[in-house]
Amino acid sequence: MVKFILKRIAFAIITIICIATITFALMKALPGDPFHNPKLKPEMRQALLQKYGLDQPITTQYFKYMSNLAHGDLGLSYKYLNRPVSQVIKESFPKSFALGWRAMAYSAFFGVLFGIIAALKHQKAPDYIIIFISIVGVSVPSIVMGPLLAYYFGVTLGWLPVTVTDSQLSMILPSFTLGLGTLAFVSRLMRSTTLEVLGQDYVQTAKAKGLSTSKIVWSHVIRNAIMPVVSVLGPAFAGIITGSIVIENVFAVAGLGGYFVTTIADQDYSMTMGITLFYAVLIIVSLLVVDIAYGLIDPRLKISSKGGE
Amino acid sequence: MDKNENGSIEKSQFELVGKNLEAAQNIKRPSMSYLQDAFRRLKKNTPSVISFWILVVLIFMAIVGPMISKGLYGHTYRTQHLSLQDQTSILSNQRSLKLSSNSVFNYSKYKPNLRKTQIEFKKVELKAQSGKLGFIIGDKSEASYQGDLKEYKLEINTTSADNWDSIITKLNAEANNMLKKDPAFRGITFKKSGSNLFVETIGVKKFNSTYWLGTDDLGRDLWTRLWEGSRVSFIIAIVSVLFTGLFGVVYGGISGYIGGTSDNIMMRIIEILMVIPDMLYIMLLSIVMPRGITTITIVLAFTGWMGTAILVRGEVLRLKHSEYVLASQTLGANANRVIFKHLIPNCMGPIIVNMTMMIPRMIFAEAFLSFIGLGVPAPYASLGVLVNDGAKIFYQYPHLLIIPSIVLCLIMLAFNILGDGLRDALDPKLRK
Repeated sequence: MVKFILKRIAFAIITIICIATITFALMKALPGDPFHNPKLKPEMRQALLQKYGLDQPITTQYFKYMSNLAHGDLGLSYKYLNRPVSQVIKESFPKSFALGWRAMAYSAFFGVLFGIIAALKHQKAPDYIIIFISIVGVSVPSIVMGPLLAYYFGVTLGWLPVTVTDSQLSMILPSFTLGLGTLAFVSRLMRSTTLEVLGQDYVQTAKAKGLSTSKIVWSHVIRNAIMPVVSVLGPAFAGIITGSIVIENVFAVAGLGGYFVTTIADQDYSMTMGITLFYAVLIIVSLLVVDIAYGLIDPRLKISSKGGE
Repeated sequence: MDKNENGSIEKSQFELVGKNLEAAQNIKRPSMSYLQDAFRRLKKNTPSVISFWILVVLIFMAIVGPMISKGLYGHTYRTQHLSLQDQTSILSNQRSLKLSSNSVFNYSKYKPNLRKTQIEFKKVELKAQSGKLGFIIGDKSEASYQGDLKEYKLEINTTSADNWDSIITKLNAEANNMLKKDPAFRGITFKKSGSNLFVETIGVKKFNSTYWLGTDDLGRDLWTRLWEGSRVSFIIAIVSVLFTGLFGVVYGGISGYIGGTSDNIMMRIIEILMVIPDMLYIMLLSIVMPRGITTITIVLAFTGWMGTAILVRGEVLRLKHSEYVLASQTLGANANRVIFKHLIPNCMGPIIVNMTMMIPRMIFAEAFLSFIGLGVPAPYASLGVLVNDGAKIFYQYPHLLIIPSIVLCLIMLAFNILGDGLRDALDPKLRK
């Protein structure tokens, strides 16, 4: 088990180094340098290059960049003087996170619930309704879903606020839209695994022993059917992070995703790359955590790793 | 067959046919190849068939749609008519309306519709019976069908003897007067229901015969841009999926067939690449490369191949010890021939399913890129661009979002359902 965890962590570190290297290479591959402005006097240009360390040889720059990264320093914005990327992340990420965990929590919970209901009512009305919801959730992009929901619930019916403030109520629409894709995905997966488990012998045995449906579902079905769902929570989290870039713009959230799009429009490349790298690390760490958690709770993995890798 | 009197069957009634070796060799039913069988099963799956035909229609329209509007009216995706902006597919020549002078009543809410052809005053109350009440009807600067550069002023004087009924009668009478003088005025109605006052100009509604689906904020034809955009989206999605398919098949095929250390290294590379989510690559690469359709296609192709490669590797590992591979190897076929002549054709089923499911993902990725500003550059249209532009002015002109969204969702839905159907049809476990 320890070996498994160590292997995963080593793998994650290698991946992060790879991504950082790719990011660095791409930054260098950008056409022109950020201070390529004919109005700039040569000595001023030199001073700027020195300030950002761009006059050094590329290997020195690379190692400097990597060591800064290791210290959590993602560099400075090329566009706004003395604005560090990490500062921006520190300020705006909590707002994104507030949205993200709500979306994740509700979509995982209702996804599992819907999946079980659909499987128990296999090929009956609830099953078809849930399949329909999941197909819509997969096929309707959030770019479309966001404005539509904002319009009907926010403007026509006037039930919910369309922009995000500090109130809990204003979180409902954006987190609902954000989690819809995951909800669809999880409920579909949960439905198929539950169907599989329901056909197993031990469920038949439990039924033959006269256990009630709720007891069977709770202590036999869920425990076995939920494992694949746990394993996809990592990718689902990644989906929610990238999804938040869209949602935050639709609902005018002053979060990291909203800021990210601004940096692209501003051509503030160091900022864009810095935030991208942050997203990548976030996703890799979450995948790692899910992977390890999965390893810890799945007894089959424990046995197979004891048996020798 | 006749029976004799006691009902038993006599031996003499039978006749020896003998062995017919030729007839025994005949195959009564036509033999079915794997793909024919799969196709037959797919045809039984109604949702898949419907999805297939929806896609056929949409692809056909994406090719022909822009040609129709170009041939009939000369619209292209970039012709602008700023004076004809923001039209819908239903046009009306109602004039716009605004309150010019009012010393007669108070109201709690002033609610005009989008083009201000009707105004609702909520909770009106008379504050002084005597005074002036006037409306300006029409707009001098309005050059489109919606107006004809004329402006009218309707004004009445009220006296202290007036109540709501008589004010309304006066307003309507004045409107009739103006209509008699100039029929081009087209008229206006005043109505009071409960405590609300409702004013609407009269006009004729007709179908927008030159801009079938209306125009956008720059006066470009939505019909043309919609199909042009679908075409761009289809091209980006299909070409990038073909590339990912090609690269994934080659990579996975080689990795699976050779095995050993090369397989190990190749798979580790994929594992590292798989951890980074697609969207991050797509964003990073689109920032570095010049914006355009080619860039998006390349970027999307670069991100999708890992899944296909893993799939193909798995299939090749399963198949590479089959008898036909051994036979081919014995006959002296090299790796190249075994992989591409024997192994790949035999794992075509999962590859096709994978590619079908990938197309909606690519279309979505393109829309996402357009959204964050890294998509198809300005005058060009794609479904993503149209949806994003529409979303920006959705509250004012919903048709600009809803029409492209319907097409986008239909494409995604159809490909997803068709992919599901194909998976069921190509699954050998379900073969009877």
